[in-house]
Amino acid sequence: MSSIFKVPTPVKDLFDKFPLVEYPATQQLTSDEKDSIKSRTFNYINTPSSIKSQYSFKLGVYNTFLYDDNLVLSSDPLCLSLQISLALNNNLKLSKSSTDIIDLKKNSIYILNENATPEGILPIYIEENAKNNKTLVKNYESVNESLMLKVNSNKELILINLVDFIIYDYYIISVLFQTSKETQSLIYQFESSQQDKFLNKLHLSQSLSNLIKRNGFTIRYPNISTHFSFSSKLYISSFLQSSSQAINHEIIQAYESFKEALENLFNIYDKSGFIFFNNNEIPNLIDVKLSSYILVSGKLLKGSNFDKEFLKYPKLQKLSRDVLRNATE
Amino acid sequence: MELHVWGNHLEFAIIDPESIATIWYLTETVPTSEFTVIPSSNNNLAKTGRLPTLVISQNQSIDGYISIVRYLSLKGYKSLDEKLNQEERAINQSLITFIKNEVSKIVDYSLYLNKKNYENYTRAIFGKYLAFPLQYNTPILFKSKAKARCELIGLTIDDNVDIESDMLNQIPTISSKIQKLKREQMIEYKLLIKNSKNNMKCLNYLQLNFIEFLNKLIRELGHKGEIYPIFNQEMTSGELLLLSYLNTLLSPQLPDQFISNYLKVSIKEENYNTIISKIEELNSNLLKVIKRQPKLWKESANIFNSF
Repeated sequence: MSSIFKVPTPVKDLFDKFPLVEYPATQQLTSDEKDSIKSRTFNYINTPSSIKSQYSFKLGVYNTFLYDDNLVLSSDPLCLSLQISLALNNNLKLSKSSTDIIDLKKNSIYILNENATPEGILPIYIEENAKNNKTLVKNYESVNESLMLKVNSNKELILINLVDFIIYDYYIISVLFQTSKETQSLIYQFESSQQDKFLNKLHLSQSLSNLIKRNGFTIRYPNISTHFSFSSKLYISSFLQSSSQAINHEIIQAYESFKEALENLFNIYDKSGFIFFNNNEIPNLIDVKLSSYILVSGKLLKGSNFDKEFLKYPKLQKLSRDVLRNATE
Repeated sequence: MELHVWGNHLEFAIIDPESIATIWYLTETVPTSEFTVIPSSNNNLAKTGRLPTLVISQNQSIDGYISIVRYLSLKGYKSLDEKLNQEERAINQSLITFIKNEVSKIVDYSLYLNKKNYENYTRAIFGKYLAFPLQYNTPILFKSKAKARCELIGLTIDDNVDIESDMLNQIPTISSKIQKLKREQMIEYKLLIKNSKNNMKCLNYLQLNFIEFLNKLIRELGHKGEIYPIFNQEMTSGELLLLSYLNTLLSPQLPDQFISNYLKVSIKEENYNTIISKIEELNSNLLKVIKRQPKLWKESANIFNSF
């Protein structure tokens, strides 16, 4: 006896055949959204020698600043070092603000909120394969590891420790303790409207507490990190307690190590008399990494101890300009 | 000057290589009569919350190996790095950073994440250095920090709880004592297998990021040898720190000798012996230092001072 709950066979057969093809979801963007994405995207410039492939990449960064009124550079040194390295490795030129047409499918840097990433940390590298529509996402550590694998000299690799940890650590300390909230926001937040300004203010403490988790800073400076961790309440208290012995001691230690590292690195460049490390014609990874800090500090950390120390070494300032020249001309 | 380090009246603790390195450094550069070593094992004495700390006066103290080395050099004591050229000086500073970032994770794994070493040595040794009840919570705290650091390089551990919950999914009911006993034996067995796998991961990391890395660097610098010495000079502050970490990794006190056994076969015997004899030489200098017991209410590690 047929049940009233049973689906009739012809109807079941019909629905069993569907769907014949499942199409992926198509994102529909409004014209405002498209404009917003375009205003945060900066294409790399292709050259005749640019590597042509089915892959295109986007580098997610915190924010950008203009260098020489035209060049668009990431406002954070780790983002900037990847931005320049990717340009050099793929024979691309750095983005310019004068570029009118933005192609979202081209290699580009893209301003993101750090909460768009799983770890809450930028930079992030997103590679798309045009052939099969597959996307590969890599965090900073992963991209950095790939770049380090290309370095042949272990002398360079060990010296990169000075840049990646000692200079980086004092840079983070300078951002946390020696810069205004406006500058912190300028480096780590994107602002396109007045409304953003208000929201950015509320979000700044969260951005900084995410930032200290990057590159092992928390492990090396536990006292500073504790005071900047997770809650905005602690963030406020960090300023009250910043004179506490433990934090001060860590800041002094970081500053002394930073000065020593900078002097040591300068001596190497000064002694060799070459533009780039190891007498290379094109910038090495250590040159790019070091230059990123010089470029950011010269523009965004003016007046801080971090910048003052760099200003003592004009040859290093020249190095940063030479690195940029290689990535733009 | 008074140097506070990890240890007790009988020994200096190998669980803190920086403490050992600092004592070694002082014995090499400062006349013995000018400093006293106090094995207080009290991290709270350091402003940064981590020993070693060099107390210069009531109001002045310096924490950490690098800062102490820098301070002694500024004060005109002999520096182990004075003969280095500019490039070597930069590499020496990088070496210290490399050791503190990379080699320290191998030490963390060996002391806290390796099941045999942690259960049969590290956890127990805190009882010798700390008063009740600090000896119970301190190793747990140190272990959780070591776990976080090791996770950065993919070295993880499973503890009994993880294995147990895995097994409960497979064997949902336990009806008798025999079954319970069998289950515990299985947990132990699975942990041993996982521990062996993790040891292999650690050795792989040791080979690629430590042995091969340093050996290639030594060759680039135009020297012979493996791991140590790195410079063709007298021992530097970076090399001294490296040896103190090796002193911990290769210590015969550790129940699981997996790193020592691996190093013996992966580098030439003569180079291994060079490292061991240098460590022994430095350790023999420890007998010369003047020791003082920590003051009970001010310096020793106990529950009252920890507040």
